[in-house]
Amino acid sequence: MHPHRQTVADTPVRQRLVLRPNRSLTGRGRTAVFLSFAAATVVLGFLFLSTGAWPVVPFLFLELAGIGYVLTCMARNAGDCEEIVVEDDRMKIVQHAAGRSTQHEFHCYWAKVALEPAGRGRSSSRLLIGSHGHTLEIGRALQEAEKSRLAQRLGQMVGPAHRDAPPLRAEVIFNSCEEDTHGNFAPR
Amino acid sequence: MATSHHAEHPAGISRWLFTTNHKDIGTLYLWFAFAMFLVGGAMSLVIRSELWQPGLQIVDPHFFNQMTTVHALVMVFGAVMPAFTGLANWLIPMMIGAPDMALPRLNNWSFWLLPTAAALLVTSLFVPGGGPDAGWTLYPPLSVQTGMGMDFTILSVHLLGMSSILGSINVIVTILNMRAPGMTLMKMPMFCWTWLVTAFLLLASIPVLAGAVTMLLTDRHFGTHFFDAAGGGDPVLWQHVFWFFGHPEVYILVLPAFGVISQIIPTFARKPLFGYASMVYATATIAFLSFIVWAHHMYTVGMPATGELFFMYATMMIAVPTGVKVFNWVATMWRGSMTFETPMLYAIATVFTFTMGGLTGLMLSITPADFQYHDTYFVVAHFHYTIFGGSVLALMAATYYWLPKWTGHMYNETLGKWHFWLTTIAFNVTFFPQHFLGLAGMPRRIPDYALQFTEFNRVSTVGAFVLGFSQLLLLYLVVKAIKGGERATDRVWEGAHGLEWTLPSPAPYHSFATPPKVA
Repeated sequence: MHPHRQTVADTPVRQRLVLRPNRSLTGRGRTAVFLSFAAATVVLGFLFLSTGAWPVVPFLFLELAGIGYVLTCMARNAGDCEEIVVEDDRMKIVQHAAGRSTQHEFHCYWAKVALEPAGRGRSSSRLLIGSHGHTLEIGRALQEAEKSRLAQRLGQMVGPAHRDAPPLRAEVIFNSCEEDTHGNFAPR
Repeated sequence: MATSHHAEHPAGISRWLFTTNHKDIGTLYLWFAFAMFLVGGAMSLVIRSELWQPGLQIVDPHFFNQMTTVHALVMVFGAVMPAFTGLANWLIPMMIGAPDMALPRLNNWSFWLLPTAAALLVTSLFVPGGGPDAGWTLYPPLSVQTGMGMDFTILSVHLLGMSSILGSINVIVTILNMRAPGMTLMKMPMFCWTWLVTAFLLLASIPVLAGAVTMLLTDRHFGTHFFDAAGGGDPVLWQHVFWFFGHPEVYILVLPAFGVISQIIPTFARKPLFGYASMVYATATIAFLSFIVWAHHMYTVGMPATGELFFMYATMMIAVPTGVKVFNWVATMWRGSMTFETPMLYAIATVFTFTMGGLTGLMLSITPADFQYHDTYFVVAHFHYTIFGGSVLALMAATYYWLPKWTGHMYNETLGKWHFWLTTIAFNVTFFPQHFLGLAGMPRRIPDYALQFTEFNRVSTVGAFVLGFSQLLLLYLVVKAIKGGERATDRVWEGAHGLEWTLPSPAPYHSFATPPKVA
């Protein structure tokens, strides 16, 4: 379970699910937003510097730094997604987050899927998959209804009956949005 | 659509303290804003009670000045701005098909800075030397010389500004990054557009205010002389810096209101908004112009004639995009199948009263005329017509319009109309006479006045009390709708269009469990 770069997109698969957040801002859009703020900051900075109101300038740049930080975080997470691939009796889950990829592998026969309901301080449910003492939370970025749907789908792909699951090839069925606190996300 | 188990959420006080849900945070903002509206309103009644007749009878002049200052700060920063942020939290994710705001934890923090800041501002009234008494514009030298209540105010303004900046970043990121597939920028509801532009205005103007109050603080305590002429500084510098923030602030208060009525009028006219694209461009134009007109607030400081001409013409130019908006709202209503439910009544009243405020603004923009109007009650009447008539009436329109979506229950339409007529009549009774008082020469921010102003002041005071106590009716209506009543349908209003109306009423805790598709 060590983090390492991995992609399974080209692997011949029997079943594949991709959970990808919906993001309407492109990389070019992010750059344009930051440059427009930077330009405004420089212009206003010179204006207030020239009038002697120099204490305004640090606040302008502090704000620009904040905007830059948020946009950097967005850029870092732009490629986040989860790939679930079932190949023979193995289920590979590759989680791409903030430029890092982590692969987890389960045996379909032994793996169990559980949907823990919200409560005890959690505002959203947790979709867990595990076997042999190892548990992994997946689909944190999904809406509640999507989690239920995904739990059902995964339930067919694991356990003794997994060989009877209907075949599904390279299908992107879930597509969700940013931020992870609730996991309310909308498919495309 | 959402099912019942999607409504599961933490309960009790921790729900509200730690919530990252956009609807919860929106609700917190709206209740906070309403509470501050009542606090600021109570202060205005102190002012109007003192002005019932000439002479000093209820409060001393020093406290009177504190009331005018804190009333304005509370209303601007504590009531109107948070109320629109509350609407943004509730509505923007639902309107663009997003499950929540982009940065939910930041959202929680943005809100909880507000009560802290408001507590500082209000407690400043009880510290030795009293609260801030230099007017909401905090002009030096008075703001440099006054008591420690000013320090509380400066810290409060910093916190309020921080909250606004965090909220604005959140709105921008949400709108730009979380729109549902198919929801292009030019398909967004006007409310989202006006808020997007408002967020940019906030980000450009709040750091300027932060720098300004920091200079004030260092002048007060750290031996600098930014605004002290004796030390080589210039009090007029404050006016330039403050109004560079202050004029965009006016549009920060009013642009979201434009967005609200651009949602409501098409619904009750049963026609699409006339000239959507021109509305978007007019909003952006107003925002740009708001940054190059600041000195029209300070014609009388002794600017060069060329400067005064520039600011006069630039100010007058704002009438063009604003006129486009008013024309488009009227054109939307033209030959529409109009009905006049409470939200529509408020929306029409907003157009009417804001236009009056805009016209008196044009009068004030004329430099030579402004020399007569400057610092008189004419200015007080003007900005109450724009801020109360433009922003607060639109907020009430928004409350009635979306209340069934928020609570799942219809409000009492008869009482809603009572509230509308009481509010709008009392508003005009309060502020219309102030035009005459100002034109006759009554200065603003004075606790005593010459005898000839008595009658108009009495009329104004009667109007203010009716206006103030009428708002208890709004409180009753909202609480009643929360507790129960006729079930609201999903769409609520026959002519309503938009993604928020595809959700059940009340909107589920987690929106869009099934993703919306925008054609």
